[in-house]
Amino acid sequence: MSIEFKSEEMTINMGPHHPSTHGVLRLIVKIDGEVIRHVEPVIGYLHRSIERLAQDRNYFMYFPVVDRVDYVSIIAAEWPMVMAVEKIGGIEVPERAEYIRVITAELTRIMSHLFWLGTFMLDLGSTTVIMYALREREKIVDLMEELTGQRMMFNYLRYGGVNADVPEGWLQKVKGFCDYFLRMIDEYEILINKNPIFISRVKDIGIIPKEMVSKYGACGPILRGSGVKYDVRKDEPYSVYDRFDFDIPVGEKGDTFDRYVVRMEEMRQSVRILKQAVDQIPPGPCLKKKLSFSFKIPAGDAYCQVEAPRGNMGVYLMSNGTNTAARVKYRTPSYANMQILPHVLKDAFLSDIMAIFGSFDVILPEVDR
Amino acid sequence: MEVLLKIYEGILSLIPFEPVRNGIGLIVPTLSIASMVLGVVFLLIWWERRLIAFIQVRLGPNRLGPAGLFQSFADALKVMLKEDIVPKDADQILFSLAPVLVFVPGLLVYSLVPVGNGMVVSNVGSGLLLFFSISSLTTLGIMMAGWSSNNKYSLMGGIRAVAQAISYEIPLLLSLVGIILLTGSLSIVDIVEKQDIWNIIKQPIAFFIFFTCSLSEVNRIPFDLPEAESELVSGYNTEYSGFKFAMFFLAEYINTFTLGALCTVLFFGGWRFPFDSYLGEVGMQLSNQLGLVWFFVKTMFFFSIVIWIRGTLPRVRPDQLMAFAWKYLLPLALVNILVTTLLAAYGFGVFSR
Amino acid sequence: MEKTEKKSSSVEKYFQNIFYGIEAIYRGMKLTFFYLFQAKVTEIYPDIKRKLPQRFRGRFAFLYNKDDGKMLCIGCNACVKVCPPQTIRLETEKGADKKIKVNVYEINIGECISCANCVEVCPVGALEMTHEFETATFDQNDLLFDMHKLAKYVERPNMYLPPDKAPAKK
Repeated sequence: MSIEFKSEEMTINMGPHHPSTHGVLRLIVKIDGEVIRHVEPVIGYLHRSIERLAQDRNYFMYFPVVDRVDYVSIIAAEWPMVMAVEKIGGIEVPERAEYIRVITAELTRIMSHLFWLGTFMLDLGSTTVIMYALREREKIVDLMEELTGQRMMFNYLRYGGVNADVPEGWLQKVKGFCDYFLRMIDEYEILINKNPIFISRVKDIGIIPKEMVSKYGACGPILRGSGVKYDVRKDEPYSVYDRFDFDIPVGEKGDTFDRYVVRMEEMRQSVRILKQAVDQIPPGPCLKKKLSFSFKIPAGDAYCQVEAPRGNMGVYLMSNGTNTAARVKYRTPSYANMQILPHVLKDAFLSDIMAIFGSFDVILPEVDR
Repeated sequence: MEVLLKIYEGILSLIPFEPVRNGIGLIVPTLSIASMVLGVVFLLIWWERRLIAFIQVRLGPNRLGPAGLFQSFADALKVMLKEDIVPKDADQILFSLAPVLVFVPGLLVYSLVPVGNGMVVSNVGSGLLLFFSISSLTTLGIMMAGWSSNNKYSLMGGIRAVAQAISYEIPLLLSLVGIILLTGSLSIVDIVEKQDIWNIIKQPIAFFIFFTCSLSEVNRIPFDLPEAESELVSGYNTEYSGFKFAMFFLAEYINTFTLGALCTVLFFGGWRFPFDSYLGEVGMQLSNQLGLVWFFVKTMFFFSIVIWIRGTLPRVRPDQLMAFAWKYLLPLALVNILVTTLLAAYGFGVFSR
Repeated sequence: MEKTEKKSSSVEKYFQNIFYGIEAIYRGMKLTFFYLFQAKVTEIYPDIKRKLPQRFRGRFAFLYNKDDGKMLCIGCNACVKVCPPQTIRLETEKGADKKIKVNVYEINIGECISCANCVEVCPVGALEMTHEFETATFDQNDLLFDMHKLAKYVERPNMYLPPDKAPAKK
């Protein structure tokens, strides 16, 4: 006589209020013991209709709203919008402004990656790395506050250049920060890289094969961690990126550890770009012609993309000849990256959700806009 | 502290009735140990928050009182004044009983620990065995808390806690067999008195295994899955608020202090000054008079190491936890027993009885 | 032959794992111990206030001329047209001497996002972002600031200067 053990799947709701889904995301997880059978993400809790707001406001009035698409790395969301309007309107950008844009973009890339490092380690249980990472991030935020006036929503780029020139002594401070920061990355690696507990939690966890990652349109460090060498700054260069000398880190297996290593290397390459930009910056004006606040651009459409810290950030702009956009569409990297989540989490453990999801670096305001 | 003991015995001998003398002889030590432990908890909460803040390059509590010493009183007051919510569908009796079952055994085991020369509440012949039997009751309390909350997160936390506690009991007890062999008795008081050379020199691997297993029994990082904040929102004490939550919270600190107390008593000579038997009369006087102070200093040292580990390491996954216990710690403990037995049988150096 | 080789390598690996693990944990713990004695980064806020940079965008201010007490605003409505949350309210009327007189100028400080679009667009430089940021109140209605609450008296020519050329604020 055999006894049949019936076991049911338990549905756990990692709801919108949760200490470590990064933002308001709801995950409906069906588990069997500790093994996950099915995951369903529910999004839309942070929808602010940013794209609809463009249709009632002229270009100058709309620009501070664009900061808020991704509030962790701000320049990555401002830049494609500015590029699209300049492309349609034929507005010229002086060289000094391009260099300043590159410097601020790389600084915000380091800011975003430090924030990711802190929250990733906090999800895994280590509570000191977030404090060290945020201490470094404070230094960059102070630099940006000196330049633009705000710590988070800069409102700094303008159609045709940047808002104001750098203050005195700012470029020396950026250079000093670069040297200090390279030492700090080495310290983080002492604390994290060879730690046996950390390695056993991230090695061979959440492997994304190369075919799957290209099929779902993922981008950014997820793509590079799985072995595909693609970066917008090298493959479709925009602005003055073709004048700098930097490498693209690429992983091999596609597991969580590779994505972690790719991001740490990207921080080092950003420091390299920063040093070259600070050396090469030419003197000159920052804004050739100051446009009036209700300027018009001719009818047309354009799609421009940049390399945000999380992947390809693009803006599709359609204008109809007036001073208000007809349609603005944001292509955000986190929205595309989140589609892979249910497929990667099949047959993983419950404790792995946070490790894998943390390594994706998904920011909810980008997903919901 | 011998002075205090003499005063206490003097007062006791003044009382004529025999049963009253026995009664007071039972109540006063118990109350004094319990109040000492509960009083130390306030200091522990402040020390933990300050130390972990210093490791994380920030200041801890520094507003209330000099250097923030009154913070724990403010926390205790706040928690006691909060509303005590019991979910409607929870199992009412078990829900209220669970914190008691977690808190009381943690306090009860202090009656077996000697804190000074002749200062122990009850000198039982099999003290060590009784100690671990009583402290295993907390696992039952955690399971009750997880089940009776009627909440899937709490249930997961309770299940994980039980699995973890069961796996780590075995290497814990096996690592102590070496000490029991060398001392020849199970009584904790005897173990301290026979430690002319501290046991850490004789049994270093056993200390390492004991420390790791105790960290796991107390649910501290890196083994704090039952209350993993980032995965299960606070695990088995999700639904608790008010004074019941305070009891869980205090129980965790008291258990960590017990970890430190056991480490000093079993491996580092308890209330004895290092090398006191070699320093002759001065050494004996130092140990006897200031025994309580040495005990306290050594226990706080271990508590600080536990906090230091909390600040450095991430959390392990449940299946890796089990693998670590069964594949690494258990064989190591058995090898330790084998080596100790061989060395003790041939009377080799420090192992001679 | 092959079997004994495999066996010893797994035992070796076992002890190697333990050793490397302990060494890595020891190095990590040495780093955190080192930070125990470093300077702390907390700023003890109400006792020690931070020095704000010159371009800091705090609370909005509506400027009046110090000498004759008249406002610098000419009522052109440019700032109303560029405010993203549309929180500026401006009401004008034509005065007796055919000049525009500003009656009402109101801003809801709770809605203002401190983007400084209005400051940039004003043709006469009648607006400014001050360094004040402690504007919390207990009542939401206190956040509606009118002309007099927003007022700031300055003695400089009425011309807008971009942030990199503006003189240092106190």
